[in-house]
Amino acid sequence: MIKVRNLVVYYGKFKALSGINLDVKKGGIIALIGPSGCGKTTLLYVLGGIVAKYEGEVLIDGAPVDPKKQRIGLVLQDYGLLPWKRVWENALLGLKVKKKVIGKEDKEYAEYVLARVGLSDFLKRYPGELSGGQRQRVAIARAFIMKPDILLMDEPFSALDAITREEMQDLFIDVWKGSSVSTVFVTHSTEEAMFVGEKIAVMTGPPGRIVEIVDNPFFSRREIEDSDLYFSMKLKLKELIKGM
Amino acid sequence: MKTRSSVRYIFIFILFFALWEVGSAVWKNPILPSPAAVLLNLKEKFLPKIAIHAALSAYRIAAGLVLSVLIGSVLGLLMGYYDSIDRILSPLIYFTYPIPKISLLPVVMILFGLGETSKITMIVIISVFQVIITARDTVKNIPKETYYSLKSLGADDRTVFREVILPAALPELLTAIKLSAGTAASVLFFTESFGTTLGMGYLIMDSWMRVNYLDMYSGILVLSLMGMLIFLSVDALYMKFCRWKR
Repeated sequence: MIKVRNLVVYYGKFKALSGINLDVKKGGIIALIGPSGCGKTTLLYVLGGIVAKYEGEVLIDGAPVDPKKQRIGLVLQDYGLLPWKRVWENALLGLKVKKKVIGKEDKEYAEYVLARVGLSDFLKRYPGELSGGQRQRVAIARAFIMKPDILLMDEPFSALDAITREEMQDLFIDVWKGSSVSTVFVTHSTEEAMFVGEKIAVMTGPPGRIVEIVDNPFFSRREIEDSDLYFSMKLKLKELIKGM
Repeated sequence: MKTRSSVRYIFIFILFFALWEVGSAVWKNPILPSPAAVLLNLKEKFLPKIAIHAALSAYRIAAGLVLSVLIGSVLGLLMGYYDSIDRILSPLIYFTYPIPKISLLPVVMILFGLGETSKITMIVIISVFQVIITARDTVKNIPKETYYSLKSLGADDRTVFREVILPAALPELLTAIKLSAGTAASVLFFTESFGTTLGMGYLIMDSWMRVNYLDMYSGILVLSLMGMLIFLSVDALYMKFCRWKR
């Protein structure tokens, strides 16, 4: 469970976030959408313990966010993998940092997740030897392997080509459903938000604030029956983003 | 691959010696003896005369390099990661780097005597700067997103150093070692011309003074080979530890 109350963040004198309130229920997923520069990433970094200077309340399962105590899975658009580590080492990095000793069960689970994302044949490769999609598979696998308390996705698929992106969205939702981890998924695409979010939070800024949180009936659906509703909702989201 | 690269080395050596041979045949001056004569002289004198000089010089270069890499990378990596340390040390480094440190040789000799310590110290105070600056700038150039996944895992600074900073800086550090090796050899050459009768620098200068060009070139050849060995071993380290770069 993620609970954010009256979150304010300053970068020096620049007000990046202004009074954010957000709830993600245990095992829920919320898509966070907004134009670039509106503070989506800042909000995610606060949740991930990367930005530690903030005002307000940020609770994960009832306790203030602290990456030393909680398990936070973070998937970034880029740079998330360490280029000098092979796929296998990268995938186990979360566990290694968290508990130092990696048992047989952990390894079996890691193998299972890596197989699930289709990487079994690539374990000895370096990130530089993988395609963009494969690299994101590693990042996703790494996040799930550590069995996180919360999962944070920062535009993970926006650098991928359209076909790979859809594949990865399907794969992600598939793995996510088997994990029941509270998730915040940042994106700037309305289509993506409407596929990966049970709820969609629309942000504008700067300073970043959430203008509306809507329930999304199209969560994890590729086949759209009511296309009128789909398009009107998409239009509404677009207008909210533009601040109309 | 391995055999092909050694074939390439041998081929280039032969070419080099052939050009040298042509040069000496055309010039006909004792100041440039033929390579055959030098190699013959080297074969004759290496063990009885040159080896002891070479061993001592190799020791001085190795000790100097190891110390400057240790000191330089510790300082440089810390400066790169912690702004507070960088803010204090950078002005000091910028100010002292351009000092022609070879002119400090008399001071170093008074402080550390005529022995090994002062020679190794000279090598260290001259080559350590390249290592410091390379290490610092490499760390500064690591994209900050690289740290984020570790930070969100709650990693402490030790883990960040082990998992990110060291491996990221290693390729550049190895390059810095190569650069320092060249500097170290020339510094050594200079310091060995004073207050010692042992070392490649002494051997070469002494042969030169005695107009013994065969010995002089033999010494130069041995010094080159020592340098090449250092380069090849650094390359080997690169192949082993920086596979992800290729």
